[in-house]
Formats: sequence, structure tokens, C-alpha cells
Amino acid sequence: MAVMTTKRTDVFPHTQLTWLSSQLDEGDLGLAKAREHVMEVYREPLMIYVKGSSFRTLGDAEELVSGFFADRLGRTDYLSEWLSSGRPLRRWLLVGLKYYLKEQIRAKKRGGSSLAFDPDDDDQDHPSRSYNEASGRQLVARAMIQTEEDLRARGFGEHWEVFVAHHLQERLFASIGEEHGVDEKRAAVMSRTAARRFRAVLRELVTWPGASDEELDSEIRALCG
Amino acid sequence: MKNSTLKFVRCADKDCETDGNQHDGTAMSKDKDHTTKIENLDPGTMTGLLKIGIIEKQRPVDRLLDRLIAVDGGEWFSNVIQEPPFNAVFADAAVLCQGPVERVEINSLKSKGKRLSGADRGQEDRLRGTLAYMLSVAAGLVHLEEMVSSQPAEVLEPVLQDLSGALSDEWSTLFASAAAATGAYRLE
Repeated sequence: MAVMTTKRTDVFPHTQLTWLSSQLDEGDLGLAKAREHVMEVYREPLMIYVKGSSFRTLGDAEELVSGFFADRLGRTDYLSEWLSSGRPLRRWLLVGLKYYLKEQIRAKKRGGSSLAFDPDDDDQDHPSRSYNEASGRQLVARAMIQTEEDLRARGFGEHWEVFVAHHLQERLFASIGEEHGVDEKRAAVMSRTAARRFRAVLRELVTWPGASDEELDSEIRALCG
Repeated sequence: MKNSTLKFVRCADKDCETDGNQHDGTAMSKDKDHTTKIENLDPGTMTGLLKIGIIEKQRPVDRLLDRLIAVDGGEWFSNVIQEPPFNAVFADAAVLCQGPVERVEINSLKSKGKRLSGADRGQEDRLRGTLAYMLSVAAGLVHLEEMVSSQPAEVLEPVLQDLSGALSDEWSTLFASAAAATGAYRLE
């Protein structure tokens, strides 16, 4: 079975925290790489949030999110503050976006524009389900790419192929095993091994400083929508 | 690169002529080049993948398996088996794989492994201890045809299988053979 991974232009490490921390210590170039990563993963989920919230009356969702990134991620200490926030990046960005959008509303009010709603009436204190699901999709995509790279680097490319055949193509281990020249039981073991690496990579992508195993479990459940 | 255009899975069916419509019986749809986009995964599959990320309960052997399957896991394994507690029992740990081994050596490694994997030890020691324990069990089953663990065969067998899946070459074979050998110790 052929499995193809889009070649990544950057080399993203398995430990997001370690990587982000090291990038932030490396000056402008590192900061730019860190911002690029955050934007790649969270641009679409944040746009989906804007489109599904009362903030959509402010303007085009893509422009609003781009404005947020330019403003907040343009600050040298924004990601450093997240690292010491004790919050998942997903929540940190959403709260930041909401503050940013409320600032835009206040600025428009000062400029005499009429608004379709009063930001003080916006009671969406929790991330929307669609934002969670979109964040989950992006993180799963990242985790799959990273897992395949990791497993192939270890010489376990076939383990990955068995995992994909079972979890994505919903094929039975007996049939997959036949294709790979192993018995049903061995195919299941290969899939479990790949799943184990996928789990570790996904958790490394989701984690934040100080997060416990239980908090990570809870965060991943939230991403399920 | 935008994640929304990621393509990562090529169709398994070489003869498939799908042109982007939903693939019968699978959780994905495909492009003309037989690749799958992440946004085309159905919500059920996406939730299933996310749930793989949930741990709930982590046994010591799970931490060992995670360590072995990490990017540098093979290197870590090769180094560790040349160090304590292994080199305190064997001049060359390869003998665990190839045999022959003495019962006293296996029992010694198992005891040292148990001590090292105690809750009062650091993470690295616990990993080494668990590895020493599992290797002594595997080598005992394969080379001595003896079960040196008090754990039920039904519990040990899947663990030995998973260790086989996380290692390469002769070490993988050792654990697979050990898993097969547990059959003689099953109660039913």
C-alpha cells in the first residue's frame, strides 16, 4: 500500500514546547518561525470561530484573523506570555482574538461607526464547538505528518501503513496482514505501535507548560467537539 | 504550506478509479491522484483519531514502549543494554537475544530490574528497570523455557507482543518468540 506525505518545508520537532521555547530564544528569525507555525495551525479554526460568532458582523473573517495575528503575534512577548500562562494554546489564542475584536469594535465606535451588536452583550465565554473541532482537525493533520516521519525514520514505515489502513480505511487486520505478509495478530501489534507514536506526538502538540496527563486528556476530549 | 491542503494518504487500492467521490466502505474521500485530504476525513474518524491521544491509565511498560518508539528509541535501547543493570550481569547483552543464558543470570537481571523500576527511582531508572525486567522474562521464556514472572501469561503476552512491535530485527524476534511461548502457561 502506498502512503504519501506532503513534504514539509520546515522541520517541526515532536515537542512543540521545546521547539517554541528554543525559537523564542533565537531572536527575530526564530520568532518568525514560531509565528508561522501558530498561524498555520490556528488560522482556519479562528476564522471558523469568527464566522460562527457575532463578531462576523465586524468584517471578513480572514482579514480579522490576519489582523489579530499581525497585532498580537507581532508583539515579541505574546508567545512567551502563553508559555507562562498555564493555558492550552487553543484557549490562549481564542481569548486573545476576542479581546482584539472587542478592541476593534471600540475603535469603530470611537470613529462614529454604527455596530450591529454591543460587544458587552457578547457572552460567548467558551470556545465554540466548531472552533474546537477545527483545531482538532489541524492538530490531527500535524500529528499524522509528524508520526509518519518519525516511524519511517525508525524503519517502521510498514507500521504506519497498517495503522492508516486500519484507522482511516477501516480495513480488517487479516486483510492488511495478508498484504504485508504478516498474520492478523502481528498486523494489530504494528498498528498499536504506530498508534502509540501518534498518541505521543498528538499530546506533544497539544501540551502546554505545567499540563498534567489528566489535563491533556481533558483538552483532547474538548477537541473532539 | 497550508494545512487545509494537506494530502497524506494514497489509496490502498491500486486499481481504484475513484475521481474524488466518497470511497465505498471507507472513512475518506480522495482526489484524482488517490490522495486523501484531512478535511475529507469524516467526523467519526477524526474523533477516533483524537481519542487515540487519550491515555487515562499509563502502566510502567507503557512508558517504556513510548520511549522505545520515540525517534531516538532505537539508539536509546542500544545504549541502555550496554549499561547498568545489564552490564552488571552480562559482558555482552546480545546474549539475551542469542543465548545461551543461565537461570542465575536471568534471575539476577530480573531482580535488579525490579529494584530499578521502583516508584522511588527517577524516570530513566524506571525505564531501564522495566526493560531489564521484560528482557529477563523474554530471555527466560525463549532460552530456558521458563516463566520467571509471576504475572499471568494472559497479561504478559500482549505486552511482549507490543515490545516486539516497538523493536527491530533480532530483538523484535526475541519478544515475538517469548509472546508465543506464553501459550504454554495459559490457564485455560
